[in-house]
Amino acid sequence: MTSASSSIKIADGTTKVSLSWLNGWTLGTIVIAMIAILPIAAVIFISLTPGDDIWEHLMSTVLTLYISTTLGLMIGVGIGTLLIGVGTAWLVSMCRFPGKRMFEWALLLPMAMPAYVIAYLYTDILEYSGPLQELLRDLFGWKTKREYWFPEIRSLGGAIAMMTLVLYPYVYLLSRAAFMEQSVCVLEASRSLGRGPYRSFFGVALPLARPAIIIGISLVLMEALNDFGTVDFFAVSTFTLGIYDVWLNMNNVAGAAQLATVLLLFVLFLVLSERFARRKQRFHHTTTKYKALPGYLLEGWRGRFATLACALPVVFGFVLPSAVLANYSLVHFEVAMNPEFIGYAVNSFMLSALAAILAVAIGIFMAYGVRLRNERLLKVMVRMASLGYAVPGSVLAVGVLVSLGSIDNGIDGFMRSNFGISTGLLFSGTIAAVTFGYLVRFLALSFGSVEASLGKVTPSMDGAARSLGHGPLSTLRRIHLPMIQGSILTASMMVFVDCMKELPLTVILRPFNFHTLATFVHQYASDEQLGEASLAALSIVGFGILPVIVLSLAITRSRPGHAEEEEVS
Amino acid sequence: MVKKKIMKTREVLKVAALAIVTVILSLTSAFAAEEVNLYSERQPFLMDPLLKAFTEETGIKVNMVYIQKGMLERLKAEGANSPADLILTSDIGNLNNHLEADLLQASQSSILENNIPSHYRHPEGKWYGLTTRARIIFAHKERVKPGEISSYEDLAKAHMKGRVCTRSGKHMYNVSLLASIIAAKGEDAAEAWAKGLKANLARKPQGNDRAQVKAVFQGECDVSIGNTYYMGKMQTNDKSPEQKEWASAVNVIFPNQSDRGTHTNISGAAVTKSAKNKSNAVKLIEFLTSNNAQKIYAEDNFEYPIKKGVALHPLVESWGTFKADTTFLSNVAKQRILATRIMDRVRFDN
Amino acid sequence: MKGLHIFGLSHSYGNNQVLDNVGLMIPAGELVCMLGPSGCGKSTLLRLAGGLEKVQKGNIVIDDVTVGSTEFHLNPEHRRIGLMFQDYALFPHLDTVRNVTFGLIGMDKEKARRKAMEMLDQVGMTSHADKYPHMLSGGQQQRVALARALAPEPKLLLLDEPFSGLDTNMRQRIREETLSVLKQSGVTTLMVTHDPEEAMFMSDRIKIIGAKGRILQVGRPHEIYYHPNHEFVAKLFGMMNQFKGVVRNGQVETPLGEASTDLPDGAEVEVLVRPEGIILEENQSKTETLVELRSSHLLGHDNIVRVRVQGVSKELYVRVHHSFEIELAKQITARLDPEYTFVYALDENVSPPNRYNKSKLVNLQAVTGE
Repeated sequence: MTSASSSIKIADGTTKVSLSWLNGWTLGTIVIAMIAILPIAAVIFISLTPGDDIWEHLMSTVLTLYISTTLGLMIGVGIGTLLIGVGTAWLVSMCRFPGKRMFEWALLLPMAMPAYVIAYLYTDILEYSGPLQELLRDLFGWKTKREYWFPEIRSLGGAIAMMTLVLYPYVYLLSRAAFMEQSVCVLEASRSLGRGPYRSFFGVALPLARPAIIIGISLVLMEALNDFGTVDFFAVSTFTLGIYDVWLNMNNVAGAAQLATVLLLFVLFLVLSERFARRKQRFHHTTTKYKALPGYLLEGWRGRFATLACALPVVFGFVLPSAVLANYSLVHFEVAMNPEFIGYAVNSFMLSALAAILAVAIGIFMAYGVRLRNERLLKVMVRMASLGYAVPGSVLAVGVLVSLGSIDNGIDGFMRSNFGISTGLLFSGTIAAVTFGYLVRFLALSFGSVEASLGKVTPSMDGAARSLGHGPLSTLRRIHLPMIQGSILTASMMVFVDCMKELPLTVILRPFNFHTLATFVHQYASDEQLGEASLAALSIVGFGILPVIVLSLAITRSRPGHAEEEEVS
Repeated sequence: MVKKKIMKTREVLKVAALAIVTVILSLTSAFAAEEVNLYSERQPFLMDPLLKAFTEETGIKVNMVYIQKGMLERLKAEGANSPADLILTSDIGNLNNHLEADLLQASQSSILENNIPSHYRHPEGKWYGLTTRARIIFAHKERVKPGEISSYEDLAKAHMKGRVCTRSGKHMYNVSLLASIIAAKGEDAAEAWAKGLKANLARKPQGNDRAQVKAVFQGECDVSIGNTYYMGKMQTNDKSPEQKEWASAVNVIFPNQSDRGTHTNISGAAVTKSAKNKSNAVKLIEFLTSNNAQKIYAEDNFEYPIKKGVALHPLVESWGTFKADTTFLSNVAKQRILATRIMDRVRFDN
Repeated sequence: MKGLHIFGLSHSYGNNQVLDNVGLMIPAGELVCMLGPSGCGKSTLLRLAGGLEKVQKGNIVIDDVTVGSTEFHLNPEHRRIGLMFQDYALFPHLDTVRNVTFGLIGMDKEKARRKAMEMLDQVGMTSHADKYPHMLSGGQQQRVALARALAPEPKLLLLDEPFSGLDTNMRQRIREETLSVLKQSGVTTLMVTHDPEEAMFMSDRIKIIGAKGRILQVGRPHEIYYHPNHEFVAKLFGMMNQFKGVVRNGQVETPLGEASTDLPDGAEVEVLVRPEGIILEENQSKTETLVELRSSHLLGHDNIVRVRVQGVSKELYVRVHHSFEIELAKQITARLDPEYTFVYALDENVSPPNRYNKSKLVNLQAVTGE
């Protein structure tokens, strides 16, 4: 044995490279995660600063109301988006019916519509003094409100309806991608076992798509939890409204941060319990065989029903509100058409594109870092880093303010005392601060979808590529990125559209004289003059749908085996 | 094909990066010699004409960020390095919050002391009121009989049951109104009032002040509470002529003329502690209280000028003069937290 | 000293130890098969050799170069190995040629393509060069995966259950083709499988692995089959007939006669007999045991027959040549074929010293390079 070992040498040269490279990913992931956690940590820090105790007051008055309203909102929006999102995704992916090709992308359109805008528009249409009720009164000769019943738009139910209409595309998008990625063999196996298409759906397709659907629903729920514009306008007392109330009306930022921390813990609890529930399940691509999806032909009333089921959300979530907006824009064109308007649109577009690219790049980096080194610490940190989505926008903005402010003032203090130079504020109040805010907020979107789809690539792909002489980076670039292209596009699209609509972070963090379409809309919306802001609101929608349509087509194309689908169908 | 796509993405990235750098450079290179930096709670569409006039008159460039929520936190986080010289708020409450957070500094100016009545400015000059408005009652011309309602207290009385509309009790306008009642009559009376008002509501609090007038016009309720300038905005709205109809359906009632007067609030300005362009900041406040600027406020936004002798908008003038609640505004502002709590206790919004 | 050498490898996942002080050696150019049931740690061994897992304890040496040890880890991309997975792991977004050229790093495009086509020619897949993986059958995918793994001329090829995804008809053909390709390339190969037939067919040498990666026996297929030194090894090749007994004078009494053993007298033992180790004959002398036929199935070349020894309730499984028309036989007798009869002590500690040593010796030889 000794003679043998004497002839053995250690592989040289590559040693350091290989080890430090792996550490580079891990280190990078940790550093990025820590930076992203900063604002959330700042919020928690603020919650620990002394302030009036709000809990006793809240508990004896409105806390139960906040909680029950919030739960009601979550349940309502959750069920609504689940039904619409998964149902339409299934119809569009698995069935053939009139208009299917169009609905594939059209169902995404409401995503571009900010919830608060749709809330304004529907209030105009549906309130007591709106055209619909006026028409009803004229038709039936009613004189006062007490003579008939009409659902109140400014209510919890109204808020649920508004949010469901604009948020279901998240669920649709993710579950459709999941349905398309499913091996058709699994579905065929199910049908050969004597299950019809409906039972195959509930027994096989749905459970397989569950992780994607859950991600979609959790994104929706976090958006619903965070919403301020809609619930404020409808005066629906959610937890988030309570946070703003404590913060602004009671001038108690510590108390608001405490409430936000509780909200955060609640979301964390939901996320963890969901992960725990499916801890044993692994969802890898079951096969490399793809065939065209079955495409059950729906004829007659079934076909018409499918068309109607897909048309309703698009009409109410997009077509109708856009038409109203377009009408407003025409009426108010002179006021609305501001020469600086183009500049705002460019700002919005550039900033959103930058944030989308960065968020996806960072999301890929972190997800791949975790894949390379499946360590608990890393996982926890990465999970924490994507919690920004669970904090109401303005509260997160305060977290960003505080963390960037301390960094800036820390550097400034250091430079002053050591070199006598004042660096002032390096990040606060810059485009970088806004971008940082966007990233912290929307990292969950990009990381979540990248992680989910990376998880579906079997580890033997990594092994194969690595054994063929490709390092982690090359493997990522040549194997994973092309394989998860669809999800990358999806993620960038979601971040982009969300940034276009984003308001509180932009408003609070932006530099002087800087406007986006959303802030432009906001100044009028805050004064309840949507007419003047209608053109800008319409542009948000317009800029938002462009990438939605383009990317939706790309996603369809990205499914392996899709090319043959044309020939088959 | 995949490779091509990646190449394309890279090209796009390059172009995007270049463009963003250009944007940032163009923004930072816009430094003028004389400037003043402003965090404003008031909308740009409102302030832009005023600020433009200021720059034309003085050559001082004004940089502005419009922040509604989080202005205080931003100033605090930026600390001594904050670029902001001046803040503009739409309410006394926020001025007071900044004052209590020690973010403001005193400034002296004889012009300001001349232009602004003493109860509309801080004794040491830490904040200045710019315009005032009153929170009034809009009553339907036919369905509300003369004398039926003449005070805020009347809104909470039994004969108004099911006839009152208002926006959310948590909105700062209503919180301020309740705070003024606390200041005038004490906590218990204020809570009883809020409870009575809630009992009289025709519908769950919702919408904005204009929407309440619309509801009165449509017959959902008979009276509503609102700020004065909304009346002007409705009466002159050529873009949405239906608003003129709403406005014509109601009478303007200035409440409590026989006792403490109508609750008024101010929009205001204050120099920040961190101000680097303090003299420019004071110049801007002086300008905003000058005849010219006060006239713009009055004409464009139907506010009551704070400076004596500036003409009101003819419409505003037509509503008549009124006696304002003269309780020092800071004292009202201090009751806002309690007012918010009372709104919670009576579950005003539900 | 070329080839793969593994010393004292231990590995665990959490509290679950899957490998315990495993040693292994494959001389250059040889094809060694690790045969063991699932969960025995053979896949972990493969992953460790490939660098997909980091070594916790032990040493892995490929062609005189340490690629993994307790302190040192060489990433898979630097090991010059070929890996073939059970699911083939073909890259779905690349066509066949580009899958094969994937590992030909640094080679100019034209050359790489030529090389890939050469490899595809070897596996008979040139006509599918432009197809994408999802358009290929399982067997075709397997061949592309093999071509891909061999294209960069690895120093070591690792195969993980390479034929388990194929249907039976195809399996035999693919196996033969694969074997010939491997022999032609002369690459050192480590293959893991749970299928004994596959192991027998493919390998120069088989290593039988038991729990925690313990190597129970190493040998050429013939040795393993005819001289399994462990009950576990014997049972790997399918159904066995089992009898319990006690050693007396080097003999164990079974219902079918005596079996000889070198275990000490008095040891409780188990006698294992392969189905082909029971010889059925018609109408022989009375000294042999009479059995009655329960069932018979023709499997092609052989009949698989169930018989019952008179007076013993236990059924026996016997493989008999198809020419023996057992249904027609009036009286059937059975006896043991010593070549297929193995005796093991029930208590492992009672193993005869020489046999125990023998297996140790083999292991040691493996380590020092024979």
